[in-house]
Amino acid sequence: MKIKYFLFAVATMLVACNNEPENPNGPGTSTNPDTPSTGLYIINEGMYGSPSASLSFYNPETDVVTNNVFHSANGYILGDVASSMTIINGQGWISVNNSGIIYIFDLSTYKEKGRIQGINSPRYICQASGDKVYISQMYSNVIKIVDAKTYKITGSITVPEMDMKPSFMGGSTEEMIKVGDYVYCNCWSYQRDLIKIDTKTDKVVATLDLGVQPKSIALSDDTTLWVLVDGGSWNGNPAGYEAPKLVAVDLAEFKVKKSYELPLGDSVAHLECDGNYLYWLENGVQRMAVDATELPSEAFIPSTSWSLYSLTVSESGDIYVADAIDYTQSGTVTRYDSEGNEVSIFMVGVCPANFCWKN
Amino acid sequence: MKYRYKAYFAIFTLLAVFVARGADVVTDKMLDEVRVIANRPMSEIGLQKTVIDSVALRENISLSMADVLNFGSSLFVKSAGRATLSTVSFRGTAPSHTVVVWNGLPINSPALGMTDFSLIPAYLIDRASLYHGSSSLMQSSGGLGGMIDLSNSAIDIPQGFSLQYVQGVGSFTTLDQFLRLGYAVGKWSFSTRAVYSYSKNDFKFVNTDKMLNIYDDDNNIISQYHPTERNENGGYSDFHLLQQIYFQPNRNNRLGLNFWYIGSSRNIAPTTVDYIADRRYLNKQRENTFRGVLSWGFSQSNFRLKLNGGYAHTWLAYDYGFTLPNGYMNHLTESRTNTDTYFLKATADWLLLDNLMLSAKVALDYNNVCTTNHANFATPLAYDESRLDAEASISARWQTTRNLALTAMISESMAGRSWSPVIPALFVDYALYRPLGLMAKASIARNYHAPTLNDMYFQPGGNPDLESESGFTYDVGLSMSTQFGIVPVKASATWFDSYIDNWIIWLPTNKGFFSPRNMKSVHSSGVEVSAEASVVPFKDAAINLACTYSWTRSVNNSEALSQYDNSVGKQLPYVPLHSFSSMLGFDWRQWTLLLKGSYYSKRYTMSSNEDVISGSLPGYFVCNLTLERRFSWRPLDLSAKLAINNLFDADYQTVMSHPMPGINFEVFLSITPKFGK
Repeated sequence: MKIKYFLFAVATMLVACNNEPENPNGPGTSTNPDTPSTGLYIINEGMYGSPSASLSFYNPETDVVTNNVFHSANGYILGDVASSMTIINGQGWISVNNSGIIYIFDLSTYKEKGRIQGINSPRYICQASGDKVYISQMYSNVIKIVDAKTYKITGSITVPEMDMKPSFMGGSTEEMIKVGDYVYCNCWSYQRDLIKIDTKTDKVVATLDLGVQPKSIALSDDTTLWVLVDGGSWNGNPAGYEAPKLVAVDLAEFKVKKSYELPLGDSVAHLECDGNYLYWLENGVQRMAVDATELPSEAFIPSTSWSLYSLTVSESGDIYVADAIDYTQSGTVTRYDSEGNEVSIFMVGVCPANFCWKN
Repeated sequence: MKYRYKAYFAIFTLLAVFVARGADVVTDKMLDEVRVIANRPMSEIGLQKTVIDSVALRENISLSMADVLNFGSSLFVKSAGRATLSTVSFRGTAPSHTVVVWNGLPINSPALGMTDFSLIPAYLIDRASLYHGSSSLMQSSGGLGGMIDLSNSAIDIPQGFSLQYVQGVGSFTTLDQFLRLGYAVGKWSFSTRAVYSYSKNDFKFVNTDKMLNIYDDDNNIISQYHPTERNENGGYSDFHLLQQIYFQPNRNNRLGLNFWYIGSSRNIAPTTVDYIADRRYLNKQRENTFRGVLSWGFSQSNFRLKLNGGYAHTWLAYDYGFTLPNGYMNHLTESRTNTDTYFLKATADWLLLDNLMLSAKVALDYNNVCTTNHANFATPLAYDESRLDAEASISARWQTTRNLALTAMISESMAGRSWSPVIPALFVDYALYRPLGLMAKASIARNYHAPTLNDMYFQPGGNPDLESESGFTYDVGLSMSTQFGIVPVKASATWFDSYIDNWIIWLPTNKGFFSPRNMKSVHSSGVEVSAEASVVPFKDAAINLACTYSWTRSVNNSEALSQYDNSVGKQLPYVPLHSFSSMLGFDWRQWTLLLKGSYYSKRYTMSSNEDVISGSLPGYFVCNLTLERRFSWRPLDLSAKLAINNLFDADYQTVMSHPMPGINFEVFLSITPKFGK
């Protein structure tokens, strides 16, 4: 009888429940992703320190979003903190910052074609010329050069004197835009400069101090680059703390053409331009004509949300605004028409941090 | 027959004493049978208290308090493996809502609010008690979830000179050493304990979060596989030294002095999706901590006074960086945090009448945090802030009738210049059926938890406008303690219900850093059940079984941030709905077999509880087994022990993206010379 008690106790101990995750692809994720010739990729950063980055695809024609397209096609996780995506030679390049990897995938099947490792903190990707690709880094004064055919690192561009400055955090390079033979790159994290890179020589040929932390850039035409400078964001920033501003840079002269000061303490991010208007996140969505002489008096699309996370504008003028909500659940993207009227809203992945258009 | 039962009981008592002493030796002396009549002390009226069995504390020298609580309580222990940050949560609350004291000294980090239980070796602790929910208020305020009281005792120092040395050798190049020297004579007792642990901790695992490619000559992917990797950069080296000095000049007075030094150096392993592990990088945490507590206890027949004064200093260094192509180590984080805590506490209990006890408590806690992050900055990120926290309470414990007892308490706490509202608490005990020791217990209380100094001042992101988190909680429970024949049985079941407002949570911002907000209201409710029993199946043998189970529903009760906020009404991330632990011990003559199990159900990682990739961690059951054989010779006692961890080789993660080791082994040899015996 006592043996029975013993066996019962042992059996109680040994009840093991190692459940598999339920529905691993998740609701709303199709295994046959919609892959039309045009559409919008949403790069979902995920939660920092966890493998929760993902890629979504939205078809504006059908108003259908497909989430987790990379995982569904490949069977493995994108990684930790997806940063940005660029289409190069008909292939998608997506950088995963905290995982230190860039995946190259087929735009139709989402199947991986290759990957680039050896870049510690990849951020943005820019096709400099032909098969030459620049990859900026958050924690380095070096932009990596990669061959678009072999996916091998072929060289690097060192930003001069960046590692000699008093507050450099090892350096940082961010968004890149190519105009003619030059690539312009804003240096954000603890930096002040806009740099000009000659794509023929892969050298930094000019540097322009724009203030504390130039965060985002957009091109209004081939002569003017707009830069959103966040001003350091917090009092005590070793790089400095000042009012954020919107700066127009004359690319021919590589000089500041005009500058507009924004309220001190405002959180500003994601500068976009459709050729006629500038858009950025600041207490909602701000819109300003490129030829305006003063800042808008009120938000174009006001919002009380403190978690608006990214912004993009389509060729047709529709505005897409991502909201991370509480940063630990699926975010949303709201689509507005060019007048700021809500068209639709759809759920994407965690922390929708960036967009990439497939045109 | 009656005598046979008595004999069984005597044997069981003897074995229980042995088991309770853990690694201590079994002597040949036969103890006299004693009958213990336990009355519930007035100080514990209505309290939901769990006392951790000393068997668990003394099981083996490699265990930290995180391991002990994982297998010996219903608390949720969140850990990324041995020698990694291990936090403990009561009743679905946050780790910072668990107040932890050591010999009366608060050891929660004043910067972070939480306590790292992996830095508390179980072998350095003599007593461990858990105060659930409002019961923590009788000890300290601020424990919205509960409180853990860790202490050392002079009682565990045997008379004369004593020595014990334990050597452990285990998988993954793991070495554990423990030395204890004791000396007690007359009014004095001394004890010195040292623990040193070292491990490469480089266990192998199949990384299912990664897929590696195999290419053909034309750079096309022709095949893929999940790599088998090692837990790189997971090594650690921890040293602890505990000194106890006690002086008891007479029956009424007792003085105690305890020092504890910690020297720790721990590398931090990368996540399972880190593809840059092949670069030279630095991810390391080092800590030097000193804690000292001086205590004086005075007791008379109807009066008891206790004074505790303490000081703690911690130097915490965290370095993160990697090598640039030019060979330069790019320090992204070079954080140095110095915390100093000065503590003074006085408690007095006065037995005014046979059935009425009055108590008063005053505590002062002055904390300073000075943290700098030099990294590559000319001007380091830094803050240097202090805060005086104070607390005062009075309480009355009243045994109103033979069956009914009440405790009423009011307290007030201060954090800096901010005073909490008056904190009331009420506790009730009622003896329902004495033959079964059946008691009904209930309590109700408010509570407040002030923001930590990091919450308010950390650069960047600190928010000096944060308000204290406020809690309201009540619980109702039944407990039983009886003996069926020769089988002693204890059991308890408690329902709890808690509301926490202004819950502080750190969230990312658009500015590139995290910042805390008073964001959530949380409703936490559930059931805690525990049971233990012992049987003597045959001569010279004993079986002990102890189990705990908790069902915890801890949901976000806040207003929706937007109409698409799906977190409202959902279980908080990393709070398991079900948790279960059990310990089964079997003793036979000089042999002891101990089987431990711990189960946690699925834990969501997303506030919206979505069943998507990386949205949750599956439930898991982990089982450890130890087998010990003791030898006793004239000059010394010796014990050999084999520990098998993760017996069934479960593949699991407690923290997402951090794999846990599969089955692994460690052997221990303990030597205890018999000086002058």
